[in-house]
Amino acid sequence: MILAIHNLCTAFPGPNGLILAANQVNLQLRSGVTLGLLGESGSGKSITCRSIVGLVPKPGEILNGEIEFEGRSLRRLDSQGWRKVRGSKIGMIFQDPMSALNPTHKIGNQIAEVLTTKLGIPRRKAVTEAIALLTKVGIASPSRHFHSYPHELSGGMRQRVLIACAIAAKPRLLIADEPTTALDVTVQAQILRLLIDLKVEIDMAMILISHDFGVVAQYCDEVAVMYAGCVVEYGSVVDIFENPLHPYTKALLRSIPKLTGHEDRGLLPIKGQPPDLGQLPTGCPFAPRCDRAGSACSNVDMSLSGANDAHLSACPF
Amino acid sequence: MAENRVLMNIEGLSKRYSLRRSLLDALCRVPATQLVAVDNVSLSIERGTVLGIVGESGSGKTTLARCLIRLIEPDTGVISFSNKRIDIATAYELRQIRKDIQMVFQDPYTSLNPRMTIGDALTEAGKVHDTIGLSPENEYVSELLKLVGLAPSFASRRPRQLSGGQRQRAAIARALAVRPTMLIADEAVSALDVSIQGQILNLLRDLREELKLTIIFIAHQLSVISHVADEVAVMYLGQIVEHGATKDIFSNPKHPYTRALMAAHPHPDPRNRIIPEMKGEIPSPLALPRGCRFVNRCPHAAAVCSESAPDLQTFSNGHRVACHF
Amino acid sequence: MKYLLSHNSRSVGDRLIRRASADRRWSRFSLYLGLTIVGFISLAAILAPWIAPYGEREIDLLSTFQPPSFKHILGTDDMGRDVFSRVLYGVRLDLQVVLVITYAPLLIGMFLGAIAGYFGGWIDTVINRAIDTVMAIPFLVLVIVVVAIIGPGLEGVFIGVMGVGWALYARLARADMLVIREEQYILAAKGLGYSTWRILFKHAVPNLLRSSLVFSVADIVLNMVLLAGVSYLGLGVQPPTAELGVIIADGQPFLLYAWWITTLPGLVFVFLGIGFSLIGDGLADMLGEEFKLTV
Repeated sequence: MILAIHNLCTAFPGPNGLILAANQVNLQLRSGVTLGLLGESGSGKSITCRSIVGLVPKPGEILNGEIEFEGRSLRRLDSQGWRKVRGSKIGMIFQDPMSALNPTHKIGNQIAEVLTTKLGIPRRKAVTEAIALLTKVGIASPSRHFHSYPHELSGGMRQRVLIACAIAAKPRLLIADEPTTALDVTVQAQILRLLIDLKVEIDMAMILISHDFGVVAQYCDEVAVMYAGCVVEYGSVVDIFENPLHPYTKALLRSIPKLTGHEDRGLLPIKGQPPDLGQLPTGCPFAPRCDRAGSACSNVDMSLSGANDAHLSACPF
Repeated sequence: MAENRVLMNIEGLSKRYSLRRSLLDALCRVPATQLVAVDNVSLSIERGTVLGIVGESGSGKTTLARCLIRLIEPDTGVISFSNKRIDIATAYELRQIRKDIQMVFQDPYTSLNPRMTIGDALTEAGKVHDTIGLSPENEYVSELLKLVGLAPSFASRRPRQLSGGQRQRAAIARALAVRPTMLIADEAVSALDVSIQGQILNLLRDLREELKLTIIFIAHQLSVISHVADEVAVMYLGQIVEHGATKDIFSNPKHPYTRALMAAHPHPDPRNRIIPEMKGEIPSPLALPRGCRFVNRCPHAAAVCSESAPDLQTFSNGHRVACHF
Repeated sequence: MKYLLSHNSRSVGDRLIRRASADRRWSRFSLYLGLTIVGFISLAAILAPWIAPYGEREIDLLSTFQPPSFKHILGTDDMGRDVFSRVLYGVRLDLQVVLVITYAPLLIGMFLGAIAGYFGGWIDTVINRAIDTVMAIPFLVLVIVVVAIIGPGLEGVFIGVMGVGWALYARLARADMLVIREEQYILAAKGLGYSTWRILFKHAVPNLLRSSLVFSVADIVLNMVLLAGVSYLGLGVQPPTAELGVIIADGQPFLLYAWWITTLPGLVFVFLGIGFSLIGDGLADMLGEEFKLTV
């Protein structure tokens, strides 16, 4: 087990009390596995990942829970300890490739900087290594592009550079937060394929955050579906897509527009509005939008259970 | 007869932007670099149908939509709308035409004025174009809100008190306030959660039936288009590369770009994994390749492709494709 | 929702909530404190003719240099004039002038800036060059030049400040307008066939107000200092008219043995300045919060 999260609660102060952005999150991740964190806006998938690496934006804070990475707790690290983990043991890629690179530095130097600071490689060797990394992430004529500035590259190429930065120190875990949301669908396919290939090559674990059921289905091994801060279903990708247990997962699967939409026009969206984290009902947060909701739903405690340990759901009905 | 069925006809519409030259370049008579946003687009839209326009970022689909009601001035081309010429309309005529063609924008967070209540926004539109008639203001507003599935109490709310889906409904209500015959929806569901997208798509479908609207629906997701459009036009670098009935496009795509778009679409099916067919990214519109614009990404490119640009050829069922093969 | 939190995490949560509400309370407190200070002083100034115990220029040579007492709360000056009464009249004049020289430029500047930002092209070029030119002129030098031409008095201050003060507001409004112009609600208004003036003044300009208003409160303080400074130098308000700068200048030669003539009016001036600054801070925080909620 490379990563284990127990009972993670991350909260923000809201106008009428605490807003639990991550509520009792339990997750486990083995090496070599890609875990898809699937959810809509406000589901807590990004906050969960930011909690893992200790980068919860102010004024939010982790209230409770334990995060174990390679058997050691990450909760009590000081800034010195974090520096040894972030970037070297855990790599991160964020959504917006336009703003994640420093516009005033050459991209090659930004990669080389990771190598010199994280691995202590001498500058000259870091340059050759950075060029090798650029080749690895699929940038054509890497020694020329070493000297490019971020604004000279397209969105897809910038995301490739960010991937190079993230994997430069050969991390054990890569967290990719909606890495292709800002990119076109044809580029998205290339970038995600690259990520999966690199994951196998470096033998790391990966968490892929996405709001797109298709992306998760295509590229992940295991899936955790999140809604209103809670993990509502967890299982292998085949289980989730072929035998969904939780009503939210089922409803979401029905609501996806498909390429065959012209054959039967009807879409089955989920009724109601996305949850307002400041005003959640007691019990199951999905109850107001659920077709099968009953009075017992207000007593549900959102803990995961299931017939077998590999496929769990928070809905007891 | 056939003439009457066509609501909007576009012929040879183009829009180029000249980049600013440096003073030195201007003195040396270096020609200004031109960015081709929309290049010689011809389309016609029949009354009561939904035309889907699909393309990646930089394909010119948004520029095309804005040119249609001259929010952006097109360079050349003829746009006629039920026997009126939009491209040569005077400012006064244009305001009248814009009443008939309404837009719904991508971002429901910024398309409504944050300082106005929903009710005020609807009444203003009704008053400016006098579609409010003799009915009392609150009745007019609640009728519009009902049309888009919002309770009358929303009239007194401000945009920030609404969720994304509700804002998009309000934006559609404002567009409908002036009783348009045509709606241009520019990425109207792209910023919404998947579970909400369907609500808005279904709403547009119902409105189209109820109000006999003609809709141009622009999106970058093929899957969304397939649910709403009767006809689809696929754009790449400012040009239409394929155009036809939705059924034909999706079951029998002829252009390699359309095929590649479909191949890259992530299906929610873990047992059927995709293999990306297409290399590279959409080239900069400043440095277009010679010949066919798709040549350097096309898996079937041959010598002829980089020599001459293919024309749109029309097949018997009205399916148009711009490919040599 | 039921939270299954341990005792420890509940206290962490409570701390989070407390800290956030303390932040909110602080910005509200600073706004209200500022409003109280400014309100109190302005009210006294407005009511000056009725509550001032003595006249603005009432000379009493028998009671010169009286230290503060029940008869003269802030003492008297070298001509036996009651400092408290003079301060009340002085603040009254100061506030009137300052409001005019702050908000008239705001209106002019916002109008020009909005037009420049919205239309762009040659209109923008002309207005922008004007802004650059005006911003390059040092304020005080301009006032001195004007005074040299038309002689000392408030006219010099009015002309000087009006001629220059609009430029900052214009630049602020222009920068905001460049952003707002691209917002989709402006595009939507164009698409709805609204007239340009309706779009500009009904839809765009109300959204410019926030930053100009926040800045104007800081500008009030600056203008107060400027007016008092100019008058202190003898270029603005002329003695014997009461004005804080004039009063302070009048008392200065006697600072060592009649400290109250300069110091106490100076304190009133400082309080007024702090009051306006607190309003500005509180306003910026609270408008900022509203803005945060929008995003």
